[in-house]
Amino acid sequence: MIYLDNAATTKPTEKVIAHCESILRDDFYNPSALYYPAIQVKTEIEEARKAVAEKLKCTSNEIVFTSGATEANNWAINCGFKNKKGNIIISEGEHPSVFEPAMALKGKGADVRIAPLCKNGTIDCDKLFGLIDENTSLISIMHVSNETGAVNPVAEIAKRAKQINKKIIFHSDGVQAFCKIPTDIGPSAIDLYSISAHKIGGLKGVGALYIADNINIASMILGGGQEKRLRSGTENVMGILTFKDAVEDFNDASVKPLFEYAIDCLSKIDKVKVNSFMENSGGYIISAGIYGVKSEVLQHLLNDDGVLVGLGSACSSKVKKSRVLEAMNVDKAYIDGNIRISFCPQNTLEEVQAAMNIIASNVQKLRSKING
Amino acid sequence: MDKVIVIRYGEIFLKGKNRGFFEKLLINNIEKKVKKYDCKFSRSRGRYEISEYKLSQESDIVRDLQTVFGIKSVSIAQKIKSDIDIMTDVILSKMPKTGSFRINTHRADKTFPFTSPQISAIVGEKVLENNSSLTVDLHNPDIEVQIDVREGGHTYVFTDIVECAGGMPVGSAGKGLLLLSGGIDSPVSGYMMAKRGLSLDAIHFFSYPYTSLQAKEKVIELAKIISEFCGSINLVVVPFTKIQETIHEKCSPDFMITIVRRFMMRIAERVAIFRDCGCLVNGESLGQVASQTLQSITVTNDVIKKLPVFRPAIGMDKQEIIDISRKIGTYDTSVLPYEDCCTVFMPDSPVTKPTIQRAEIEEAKIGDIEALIEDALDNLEIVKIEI
Repeated sequence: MIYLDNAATTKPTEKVIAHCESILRDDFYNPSALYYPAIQVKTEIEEARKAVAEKLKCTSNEIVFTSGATEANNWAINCGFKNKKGNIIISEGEHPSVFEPAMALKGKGADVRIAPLCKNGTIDCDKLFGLIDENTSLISIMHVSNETGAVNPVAEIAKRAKQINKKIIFHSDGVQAFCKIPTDIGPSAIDLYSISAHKIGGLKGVGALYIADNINIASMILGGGQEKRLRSGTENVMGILTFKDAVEDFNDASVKPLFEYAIDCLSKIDKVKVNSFMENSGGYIISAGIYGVKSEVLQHLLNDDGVLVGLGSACSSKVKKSRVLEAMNVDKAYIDGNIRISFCPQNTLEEVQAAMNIIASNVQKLRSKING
Repeated sequence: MDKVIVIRYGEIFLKGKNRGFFEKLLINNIEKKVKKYDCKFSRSRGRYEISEYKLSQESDIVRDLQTVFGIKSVSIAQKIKSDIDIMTDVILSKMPKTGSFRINTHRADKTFPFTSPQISAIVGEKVLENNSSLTVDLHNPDIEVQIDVREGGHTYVFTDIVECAGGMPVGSAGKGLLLLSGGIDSPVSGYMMAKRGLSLDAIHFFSYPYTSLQAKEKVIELAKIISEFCGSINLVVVPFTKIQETIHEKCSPDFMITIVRRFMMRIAERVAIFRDCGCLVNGESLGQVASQTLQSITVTNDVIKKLPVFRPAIGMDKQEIIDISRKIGTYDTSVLPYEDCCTVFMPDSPVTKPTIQRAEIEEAKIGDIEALIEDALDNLEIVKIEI
């Protein structure tokens, strides 16, 4: 199988897999306990926190481990919007784990403003700044789009937003950015930043929220007071300790040639519209709309030929089309046939070459069947 | 004094010489349903009874009995010796401290020395003697107590009657083949025919890669849900991709659905006959969509040569069908957003008034229809859903 759906999740690295067994056998203690083996586990957790903090160029005490980025995003939106006063700004391109909590706040009467996207998938900065006023209390803009790979210059956006209103809390969903593009979050004007382990070879069920030192946000999960009373619940020891392995092992140098090669191949197929652009992409995700086919059907055919890709949008007639692609003004006929190809450092050029041939031949096969 | 679940059957009671046949099936179906519990099932004239069960399982047993067609109602009762004083004691134990009550008596045991009205009056009087805070109200009582004096010297005393599914015992009407799509209507139709005594097999047309594996899993899940009511089901999965591709390639787009459905009916009839099913059952509801107009049904029905096709939802509104699907628990699965084969190659404007003549002209373009059908029949997959 050639796995090209790494934006959905990545295969855990060999180091992570090997480490899991030893953690289960030897590091099973509750890190809150006071006997020596438990204290040792606690120390290892702190080392993992340090490894994550180094990647974000921040201090360890600014990292709070969570059950993943969905929790981190929900926390940022719900607790970052303090006292439920003022207004929130998000973008059209946000992941549902930001978009839905914001919509839930809107349902309770909050003023939620939505900044549009440009045709290249990035946020329209001028329109965003136009939405900010003296009552804006929270802005959440994703760093790299999970659908198109488009990169938003979030550090710059945060800086300019705070020049307009210095009281703003700025959050960014960094799930598809972390370890893949520079994420110097600590020195930036960004206050909250969500990341996840399983997109970089770690395990599902663990992520983190960066909370800048000068920011106070209420905890969303109360209980035993773990994570400096900010996120209660016995720590996911295996997830956190292997998060460190994944961060340290991640080598992003190898995917750029794959990305460029794949974009080149896809662009050569008749009536294929690539919605990811070299000049503003993180280099890991390609969104491609294929005219005249349903992406789900193509996904099945590719699956049968040993290539696993993601869907850019659910193809069922009963499900809403992609909000993000619609926001980019992508033609509906291309949205129906949208697939998402996403890489990891373990992918090889040979794999991608084979996959591109399989995609091209199946697109042709499917089109000939549909068009007769 | 034992706590028991009394089971009453409905329409079977009206049967004459065949009653034994129906009763035997009903007993068999009840026994299958309750065999997972540690309990005793027994029968007496006109009543069945479940006893010696764990009290913690009582509500589960009642819920399971509500899925057995042929049962009209059940009651949780005290089984006692037919004796006026014991009846009084039991009723007093069930009574609140104050309030009004009424006693209804049914006496099957004609050797018991009092008539039904006499029993009600005597026991009622004794209850009042023991608790002067209670009153009798024959028209609108707070609590209604039932005394059922049975032959053999025992009596059931109970307060609540739990209505059950009614209908006829599954299997009493033979076996039908249900065309199960994955939508809301077909599982409901299967349920409705099972209620009239049909046991079911089901047939599903599978169009991978145009529909997903999840769509097939969804149909298996629906079959499992209705098997709670109709017993074990053999689900026949027909590989349908080649047929749909051929129709799409050769026939006029506006006739796509009409021709597809004629193929489905042809295959379903052959599978039904092979599997000893005496009828087909589908979820058609008149006028609901283009393929369910009178003209469309006429054209699809035209290919059926030997078996009747039952369409129990034909005269129902969508909301009525949805209400039943919620009641039987298929709704949440039916609305899962996976495409079924009906939406593959869906034309923008399907014909709503097709004719048999035109359908035959379109089918002539395909050529060897028989070869396509034989190929599909050679590659059937059978999923056994056992309860």
